[in-house]
Amino acid sequence: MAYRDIKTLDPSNGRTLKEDNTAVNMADMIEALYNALVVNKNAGVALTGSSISKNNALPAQRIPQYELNTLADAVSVLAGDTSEQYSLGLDGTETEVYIVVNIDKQPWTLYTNSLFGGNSYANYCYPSFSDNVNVFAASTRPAIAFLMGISGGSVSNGLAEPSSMLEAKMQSIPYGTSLKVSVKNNHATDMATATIKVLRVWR
Amino acid sequence: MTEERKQEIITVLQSIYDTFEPTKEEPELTMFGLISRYNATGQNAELIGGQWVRENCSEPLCLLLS
Repeated sequence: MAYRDIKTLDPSNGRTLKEDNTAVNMADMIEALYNALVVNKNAGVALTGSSISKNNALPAQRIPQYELNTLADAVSVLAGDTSEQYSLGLDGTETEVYIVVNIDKQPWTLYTNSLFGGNSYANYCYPSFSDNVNVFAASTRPAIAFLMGISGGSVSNGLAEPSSMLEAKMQSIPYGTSLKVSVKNNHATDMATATIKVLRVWR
Repeated sequence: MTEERKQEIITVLQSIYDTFEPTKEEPELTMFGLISRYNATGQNAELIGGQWVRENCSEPLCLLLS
């Protein structure tokens, strides 16, 4: 059966009645949809983001957060003795790590090691609490040391000792997962009480 | 440690807790504050610390913040 040429047919009424008895022009709507989806290919909405290859990781926004954990809970350290070594419990994802100490005798020294192993030293932290003559007995005002993970001003890195927190952070290296901390009670006669905490920061 | 000695220690610690007076610098008694005060008595021959308190003492001592 042959049909009439569509071009010779009169166009039908584009207006359609809705349920509320108002009329809409379906022809206009269809044209708008066509333009959005086919002509402009954006549905009239500005697109954001980007296409990511299947081999690339999806970007994510890191929300700064922190975790404060107690490592040594009011341990008693004899005069001249060093506390046991406490694992910092790091998982290597931290952006910054601070060691927080309360101690009621002085002088005292804070020791940490690096991811390269070996002995612990006082100057792996900034500031370096080495034979420090201050007491930090108030829980509201503990001693706080930034963990650099490497000896500040080390011969191995050829740098001068940091003179500011900014310099210390610039010298710091990744922490690894095997870092430990201890404190030495350098008081001549008295037992010291020490609480050691680790503040892990993700920025 | 004998049970008798354990009770002696707990009695001293409880007394420290009961007589603690808050200050601006130390608004509440922490485990550090408790053990520090106990060490100041010179009686800590056993070198007990916060862990011992949490394991052997009842509330409120075992619940003190670090």
